[in-house]
Amino acid sequence: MTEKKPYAKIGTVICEHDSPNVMNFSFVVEGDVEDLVVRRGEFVIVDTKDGTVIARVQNLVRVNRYYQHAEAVREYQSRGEPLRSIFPTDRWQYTVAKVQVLGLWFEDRPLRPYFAVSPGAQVRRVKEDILAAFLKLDREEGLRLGKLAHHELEFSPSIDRLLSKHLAILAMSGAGKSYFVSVLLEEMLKRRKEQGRLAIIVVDVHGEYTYLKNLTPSSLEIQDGLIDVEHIRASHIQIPVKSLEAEALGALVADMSAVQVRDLRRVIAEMRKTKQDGYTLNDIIDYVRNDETISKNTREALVGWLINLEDTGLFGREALPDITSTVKSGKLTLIDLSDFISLKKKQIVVSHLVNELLYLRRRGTIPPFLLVLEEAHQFCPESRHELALPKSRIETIAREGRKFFALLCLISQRPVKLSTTVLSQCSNQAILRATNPYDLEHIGRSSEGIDREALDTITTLEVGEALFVGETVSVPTFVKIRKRHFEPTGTIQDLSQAMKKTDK
Amino acid sequence: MDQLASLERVEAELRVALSVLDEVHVDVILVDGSLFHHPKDRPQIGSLAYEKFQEVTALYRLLYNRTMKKNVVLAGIVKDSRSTRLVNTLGDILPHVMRDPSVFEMLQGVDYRWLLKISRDCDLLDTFLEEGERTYAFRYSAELPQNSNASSDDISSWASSILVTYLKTARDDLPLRIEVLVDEDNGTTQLDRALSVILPLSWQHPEYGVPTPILEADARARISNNETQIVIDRLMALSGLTYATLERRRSRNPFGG
Repeated sequence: MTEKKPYAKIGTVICEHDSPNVMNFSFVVEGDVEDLVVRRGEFVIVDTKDGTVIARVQNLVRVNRYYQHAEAVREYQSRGEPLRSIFPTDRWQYTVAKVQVLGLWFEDRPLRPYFAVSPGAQVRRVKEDILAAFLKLDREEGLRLGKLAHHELEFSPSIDRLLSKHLAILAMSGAGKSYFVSVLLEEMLKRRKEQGRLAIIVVDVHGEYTYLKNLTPSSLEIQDGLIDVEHIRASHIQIPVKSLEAEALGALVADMSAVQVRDLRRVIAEMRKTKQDGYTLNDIIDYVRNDETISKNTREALVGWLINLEDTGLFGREALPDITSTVKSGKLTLIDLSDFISLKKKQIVVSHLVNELLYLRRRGTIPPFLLVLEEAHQFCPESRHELALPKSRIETIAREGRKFFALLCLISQRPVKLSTTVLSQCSNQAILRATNPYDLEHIGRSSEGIDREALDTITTLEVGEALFVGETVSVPTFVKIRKRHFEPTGTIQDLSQAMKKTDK
Repeated sequence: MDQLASLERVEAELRVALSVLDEVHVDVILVDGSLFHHPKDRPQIGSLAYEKFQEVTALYRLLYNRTMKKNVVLAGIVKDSRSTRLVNTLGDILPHVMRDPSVFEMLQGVDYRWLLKISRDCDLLDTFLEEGERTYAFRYSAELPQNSNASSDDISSWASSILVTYLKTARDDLPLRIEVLVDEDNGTTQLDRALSVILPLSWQHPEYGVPTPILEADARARISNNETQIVIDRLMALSGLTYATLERRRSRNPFGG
């Protein structure tokens, strides 16, 4: 059996019709017939005097001359005996691995491949240090998110590479998006002060991360330090009316006319002068009702809009929570929207939150932050502008946020519905299992680093496996996400459990 | 040169068979081809190949003796026999049978002499044998020309120890000529023992009734064109001669073809 240890020889390069060429080659795999010496997706190397060629197995073809002629197989098996009991068929089986060249490693730096490996060259298992350096992993300070598929090497991208140009996590429902986010949050919270920490705000649409409020340093295997997690229920959130401009209020309702906005702007200006300690929507409604200078039609329309907004219960005199004091380096703030059924209410909260975060970060009032947005397609969809209140603000963060370290982590199970502007600004993507052809096509179009082969592989990913694409790794990389250190307790994982629990 | 090449091949095969006997415990050895050298392989005394022929006959004798001593069944599987032993026998018998008026009437107008002349044993027997059936067995010596000078060397004495039969192994394939080395006392028993092994190894494919070990051996021994060319190129290089000297112009067309 061929050894699993790094640098063990696993095959020999062969000549085929058009290979070895600069970008591809094939090799005959060593070892016994039944051994899985090499797997699809595994990195391999070929040492040459001009550097180490780093490649990845794209496909494996098993060949056996006894089974090449379908007719002969059928005839020999017509008496009911398998061919392998008639002939020593196993002896003739061998495997050819089709390999794609990814790069050249020469004098501790990567180069573009510029030559073809020689037929007969020995193919070896990759050395971990070369692979880690080639993939630009940070083995000391990186976020330990899992292991490279088919390798023992820890996938530990540096926080700079993974998050500094936004991250999108895309997958179908149940593929492990939330699990991966939990792992990412654990890694972020484990960071020590001297390593640098981000403030993290999670918009938790389904209340999936509430369990993190019970997180303790020991559960994350931290010797010293404090885990700071704040859980804010949606029903406790209050948007201060005095901070809202007429345009901002207008944006919260559909179809407010320019005349209505103009009158509202005047009313708000008056209110700010007369009520300097703050006011509520009801105060504005009363003012509008009593203002004879506004035409009757405009007045009635404005009052209608404002009453609708007041009915959401989201607006008040003071800001709750105070974002300036809530958002802190190394702290996780969970905005739990699971109390809300109305999508509009969720959108109003997210819209306000994104606006405030962007404003405060621009002014340097709050530290660099990571905004984790679950169900991102609900808040910044590709179409349906009137129903997407926070879209333009999220797009602003996506476009400009990285300059002042306002960072996004967007999570979506319907990438095709997610704004292309936002998705294309996410320089890194973690793609978990997805099968919807429209979503796959959209991922392929919006992601520069993903090739056809990798795209096809997304449908075959197992739950908990992710394909990382973008600046965080030099080539699309498959990763087995690690287990969570801290598991939620008391949650119901599947339908059977839910039925048993309720049917007592 | 062809004769020498053929003898070299036979020698290599015999040495493999002998090494099998030495290294592995076996009950039956199946040989691809006849158990006896082909009359064409016998060079004239004093020719370049005669010395090689003597080596080969010595190896034949060694193989026969050892298989007998070890009680191993040695069987030759002849895939494409051109033998006409049975056809000739039929040709001898038919004139006598035709004395019967009813047979004469049946064969009237049939040029059976021409038919027999162009037929081989396998063609003839394909008509009569059913799957699993065999012909009577006869001794190899019966096929050797009586006036041959082969009778003078001692290997010819072994020809009478080789029983020959035709076995129909597959429904839609020609019968297989099988030669088995036997001793004087229990020749038929040894023949049946060999056939009881050969038949189940040969009947899986309805149109190709050759024992599967022969197919496997063939696959292992086969040298591809590519490999042959590598050997030729190497020999040319060792000879120190150029392609221009060794290859004809028609084979050296720079555009192929």
